[in-house]
Amino acid sequence: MAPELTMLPGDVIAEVLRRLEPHSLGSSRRVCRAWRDTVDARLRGHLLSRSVRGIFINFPRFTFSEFFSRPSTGPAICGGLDFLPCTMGVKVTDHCNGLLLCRDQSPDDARPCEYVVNPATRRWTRLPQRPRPHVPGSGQTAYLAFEPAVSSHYEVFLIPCVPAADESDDDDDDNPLLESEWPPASYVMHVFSSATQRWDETTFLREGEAAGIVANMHTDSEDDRYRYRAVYWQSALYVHCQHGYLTRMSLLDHTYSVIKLPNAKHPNRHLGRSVRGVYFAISCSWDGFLQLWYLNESCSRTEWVLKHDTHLQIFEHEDQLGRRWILQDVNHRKWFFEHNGNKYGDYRAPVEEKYDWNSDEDNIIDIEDNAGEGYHDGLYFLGFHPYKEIAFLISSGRGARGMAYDWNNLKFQDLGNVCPADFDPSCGLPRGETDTAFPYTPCWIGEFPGNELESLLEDEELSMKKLELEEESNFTCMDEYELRKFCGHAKRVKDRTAKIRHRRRTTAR
Amino acid sequence: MATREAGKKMIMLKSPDGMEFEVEEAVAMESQTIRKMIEDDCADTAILIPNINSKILSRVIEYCNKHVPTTGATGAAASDTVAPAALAEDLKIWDAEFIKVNRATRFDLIQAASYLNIKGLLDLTSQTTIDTISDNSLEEIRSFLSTKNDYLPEEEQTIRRENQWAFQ
Repeated sequence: MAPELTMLPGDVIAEVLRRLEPHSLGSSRRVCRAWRDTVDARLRGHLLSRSVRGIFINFPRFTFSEFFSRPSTGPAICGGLDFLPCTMGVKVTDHCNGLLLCRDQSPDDARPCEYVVNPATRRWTRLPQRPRPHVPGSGQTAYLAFEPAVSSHYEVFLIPCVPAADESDDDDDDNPLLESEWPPASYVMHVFSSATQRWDETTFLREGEAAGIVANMHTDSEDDRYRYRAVYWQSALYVHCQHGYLTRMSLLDHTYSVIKLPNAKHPNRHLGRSVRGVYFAISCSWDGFLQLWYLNESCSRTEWVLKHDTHLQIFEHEDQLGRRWILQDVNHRKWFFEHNGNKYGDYRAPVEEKYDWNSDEDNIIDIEDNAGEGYHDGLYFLGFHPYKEIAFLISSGRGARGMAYDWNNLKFQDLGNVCPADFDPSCGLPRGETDTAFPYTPCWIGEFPGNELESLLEDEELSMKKLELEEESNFTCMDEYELRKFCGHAKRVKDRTAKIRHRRRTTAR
Repeated sequence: MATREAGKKMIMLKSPDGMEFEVEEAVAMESQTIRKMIEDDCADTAILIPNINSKILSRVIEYCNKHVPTTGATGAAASDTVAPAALAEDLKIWDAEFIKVNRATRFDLIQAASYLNIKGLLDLTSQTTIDTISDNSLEEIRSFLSTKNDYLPEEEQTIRRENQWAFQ
């Protein structure tokens, strides 16, 4: 009697099943108990990394996102995004399960290019230009929805902001737009799907009350400087809107509902995902105020549960040997050297040390030990760990330190210096000040519907044309540096194209 | 390696049903499990391979014979004249032919490869199995595996809910 695959020992089953793509692995749990047990015990997170490999941070006045990288034994992640054809800067605007949404920061571009990038596999795709918003004059924010356990395809949602109605005329009372409900009963938005490769219109129907009327949205508008985050969790996109509410958009039945946010006077609010679902943080940079909330959606009603409420002190730390996270800082520095030549010394990519990192040991500081030694300068919230009840913070005093805060056990972990190398103290910003940050978990799935080859070829032609133009014109100092930039860029594009062609050929075989 | 100079050192492998197979040491050492035994000197005369019958063991040895690095071995003269790429291509075709076995034999081979820790064979057998099941529906997979759905209806509901976001 031959053994059946389902009766083989667990480690043999695991050996076979580990070769499945994550989405097939997910459904293989339903074949029989033996498989489910094997997958649950041995293979969860096999291809979907559950560890935070670093944090993409946007510092104000930097045109590049920087990567605060965690030391690891696995393959190195380069947060340098320099494989993207954006020479003037690129910022991460959203992250979802290993994919980044990035936006070109070129100042001369009226409609900047947007990219969806997998930094682990270095594959990327350039999105087609955004369609115009339905209501003229109103902005749109883009968010990613990607669940590799379900499909290798992703979607990008353009969420319309509150229409700016006050420009039209002064008699606001007569403007019917101002009296209309917001968000509208049928919320029309553009969605890009990687399966169809185009922007399509999708309508979400509201269930329940609206947040208010358009006119009120303008009066209670909060600080607009921070970008508002969205969370993708179990086929629903939770979008944080700046007027104190959340929309929960179900992608399965195309309905949405408005969820009021917990109220607090403090300005900094962050939506995030962690182990049990959707979390919300309210922080205050100057007095260390920190509240952490959890959205409980279990018993058929939705409510915010306060998980943690504290005032944190700012800690001062000197660098200790080893086991530090490293702010790769490559993007800005590379750009700097490309534009200024090497007169300030050779550019050297930081070398990532390879060692194991364990959140259980390390330089953990007990919160009580440091009480009273506070240095009230700044506390900035970076984000939630997606799979553990841990918050990432920046504690900014004389230096800026990345911190992991385990709020259940009141433990801190010092991660390392997060201050960019050429941070300019004279610009008046605290060292740890950030616009947005994205704790990053890599996705090692190679299948990614990218179009990098086509885009690079397009760029190659474009930059060649520009090169020719410059050759004709008179040389000034500026021209020379532009020329150098394009030469370098064209070469990189060429190398990259050749590499991709090679890879395609080998995989095709 | 001194053994190569002195001709080929032979190792005796015994299957539980009493068959004995004499193989070159290099071939047997394709299996990390046997390699460890040899290196730890627990393999003086014959190695008993439990759980693997003679039919499967002979297939495994056939695989190892083909995949043992040819340097210094009998195939050396032949392989010198053939480009490495062509050799790899050759091996691939051989593998594809080798794995054309019935389902039960393949599962036996998986188990044997896993126990003997032969990476190449494990890759080959598992990948072939995965290729057959990855694009099929649950029922097709179950019938291929000739296994039954052993979930109770309410359990199936639970797991369906757990995976709910997995079918769009």
